[in-house]
Amino acid sequence: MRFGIGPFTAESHLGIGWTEAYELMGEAVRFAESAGFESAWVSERYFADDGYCPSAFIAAANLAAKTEAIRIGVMPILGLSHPLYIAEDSTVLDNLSAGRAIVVPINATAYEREAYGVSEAEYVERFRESLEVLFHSWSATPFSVSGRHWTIPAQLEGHVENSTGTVTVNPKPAQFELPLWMGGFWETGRDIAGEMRLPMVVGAISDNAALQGIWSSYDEAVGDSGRRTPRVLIRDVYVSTGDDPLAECGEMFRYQFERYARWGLWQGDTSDLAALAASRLIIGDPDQVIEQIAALDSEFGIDHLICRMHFPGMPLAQLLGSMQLFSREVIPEFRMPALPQQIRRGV
Amino acid sequence: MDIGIGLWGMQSTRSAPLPHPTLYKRLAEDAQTAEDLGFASLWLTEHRFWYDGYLPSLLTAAGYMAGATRTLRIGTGCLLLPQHDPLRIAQGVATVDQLSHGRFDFGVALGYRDQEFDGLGIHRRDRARRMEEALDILASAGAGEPVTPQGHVVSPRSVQSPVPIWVAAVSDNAVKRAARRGLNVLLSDAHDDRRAGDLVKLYHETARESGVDSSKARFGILRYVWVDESAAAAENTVIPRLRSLLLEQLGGWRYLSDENGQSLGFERPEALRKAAEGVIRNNAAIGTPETVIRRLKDLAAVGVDFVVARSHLISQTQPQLYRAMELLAKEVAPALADSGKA
Repeated sequence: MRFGIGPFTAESHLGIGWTEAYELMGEAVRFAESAGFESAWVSERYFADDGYCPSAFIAAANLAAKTEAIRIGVMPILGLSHPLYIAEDSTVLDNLSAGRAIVVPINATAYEREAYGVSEAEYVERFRESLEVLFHSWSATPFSVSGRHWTIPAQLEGHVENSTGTVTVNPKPAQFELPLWMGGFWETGRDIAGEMRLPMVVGAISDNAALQGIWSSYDEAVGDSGRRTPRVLIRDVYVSTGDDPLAECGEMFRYQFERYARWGLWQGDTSDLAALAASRLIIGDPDQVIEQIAALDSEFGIDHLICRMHFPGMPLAQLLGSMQLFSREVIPEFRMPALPQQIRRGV
Repeated sequence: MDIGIGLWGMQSTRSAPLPHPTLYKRLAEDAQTAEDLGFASLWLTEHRFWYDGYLPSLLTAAGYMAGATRTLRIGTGCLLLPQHDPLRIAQGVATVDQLSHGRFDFGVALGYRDQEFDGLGIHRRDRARRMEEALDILASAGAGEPVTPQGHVVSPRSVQSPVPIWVAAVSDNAVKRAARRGLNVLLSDAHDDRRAGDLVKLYHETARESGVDSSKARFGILRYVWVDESAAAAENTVIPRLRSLLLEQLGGWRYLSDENGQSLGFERPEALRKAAEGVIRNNAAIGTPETVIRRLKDLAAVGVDFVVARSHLISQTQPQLYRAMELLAKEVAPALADSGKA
C-alpha cells in the first residue's frame, strides 16, 4: 500500500487564519515528503464562508515549489469554468512539478452551480463534455470539439480565420499520460469512472459501510480486463498515544461533516460524534491504526490510502505529531507483509 | 524609480527548445537570484495555443513562485483578463496573495490575438466590456462584497487591501480606463519615452475629470534592458536575440503596428523589420551602466516610476542573464533610487 497526505483545504478555523493555514500546508507537505508519504493533495471549493481553498492548482503549484519528489494531487471543480482553463492549469502544474501531477476532477455544489447559472441536469453534461476537452488538450494531436456547451475553436465572425480548424494546447503535460483519476464523490463521477475505466478516488464523504457497494458497482462496470485499476481511498486519520485521541481532534473532525451537510454534499447525522467517527475515522495509537487500515485492506485491497490528517483548525504541532507516529510506526508495516517487529520498534 | 525584472513566458522555442520542466526549474532559480539581488519584483507573461508552450496559466505559476521565494514581489505582466472567467480569477488572486503573504502585483491586459479569443469562444470585440466587468468583480471581491447577483462572496480575502492592479496601457482608451478607476498603469514596450509621457499626462487629466485621486497611482513601463561593461558587448549579446524575438514572435501575433496603426504580420516583412528596429532603437535601454541609467532617468523625467526590465530573453544562458541582472541591480538601480518619486 502507498500513502498520501491531504487533501489540504486551507480554511480559516479555530483561530488559524488563511496565511497561517497555507503556511501550515507547506510545512506539513515538506515533512510528508521525507516521512514516507508519496502524494500530497489539495482540493477546492468556491465561495465558502471559511475560505476553503478556492484555487487548488495555485496551492498545488506552491507545494511543488517546496518539494522535490512527492506526487502532487489536485482536485479541481470541473464543469463550471471553460474546460480549457482546467486543461492549461493542469499542464502547467505538471511541468512546474517536473511530471508529478495527478488530476482528480470533482463535482460542484448547488451553491457553486448557482454562481454560474448552471442547473443540475446541465451540469452533468458540462462535466462530461469538459472531460472530453481535457483528454484532447493533453494529447499530442490538434483537436476541435463541437459540444453542446463548448465549441473549440469557435470560428467566430470577424476573427482572423483559423485555417486549421483546430486548437493546440501548449505546453503539453510533462508526463506522456497525465494521470486523471475520477473523483468518485458523486454518482455521475463513479459512473464515468466505470465507463471510461479510469482510476477512481473515493472516500471523504463515503463511510466504510458504503465502500463495498461503490467498488462492486465500479468493478462490474469496468469488467475484467486482466488488469486491476487501483483502489484509491481517502480516510480521515489521527494517530496519538494519548488516553483519548478522539477528544483531541473530534470537534475539528466533526466540523468537516457539518460543512458537507451545509453544502448538500452529504446527508448524515453529526450529533453523535462517536458514531460518526466509528463509521469512517481511522484513529488511535499506532497499533490500533495499523489494525483499522489492515481491516480495510483485507476487505477491499487498498492501493493508495490518502490520509486526511489535517482537520480544520488543527495546529501544526498537533498535525506533525500525528504524522510522525504514522510515518514511523504505521507506514513501514504496509511496505511488506510480516514486517519484523524489530524493524518497526527499532533494534 | 523601482526596477522589476521580466518577462518570463516559459517558452521552448525553435532556437532554444528546452524541456518545460527545465524552464520552470530555472524560473525558481531566477526568482531566487532576483530576490537576492534586491529587485522589487519578477514578472510573468501570458499567451496560449502557441507552439513554444508560452505560459497560459499565470496564477498557477505565481503560486509556484510564491513557494520558491520569500520577499520578492510576483507580478503578472500581463494576465489577459478578458480571456478568463473573472470569478475564478478573483479567487485565484486572493489565493496567490495569501500564499505569498501579500507579495502579489496583478497586471492585466486586454489581449489581442484573435486565435486565443476564438479558441475560448470569446469574441475579441467584447474584450473591453469583459475587462470592465472583470475589474468590477475584482474590486468587489477585494472589498469582501458579493460578486454575483445571488450574493456569492470570494473567500479567502487577500492579504493586501487591495492587491495592486496594474492595467496594461497600449492605447489612450486603456489609459483612460485605468485612470477612471485610479489603478496603476503598465505602459508598453511599444511606447517611446515621449508617448509614455503623454500617456502619464492623459492619465492625470482623466483622473481629474473623473474626480479620482491619482496621487497614489504608479506608472510602470516595460523596457528591454541589458547592462554590460562595454556597449559593444551588450549590443552583441542582446540585439540579435531581441530582433529575433520581435520578428518571429510578435510577427506571428501581429503585435507591432506601422505608422498608420495597421497591425504588422509576416506578410509585410520590410515594414515589420522597420517597426522592430524602431523598438530596439527607441524603446530599449541596452549598454553600459551609464547608458542605461541615462535612458531610465529619461523615463523618470516623464513621470514613469517603475520599470519592468526585460532582460530575460530567449536562449540566454543563466550566467549571462545573472551577470546582466547583477550589473542592473548594483550599478544602475542605486543611481535611480531617488528618481521618479512623487
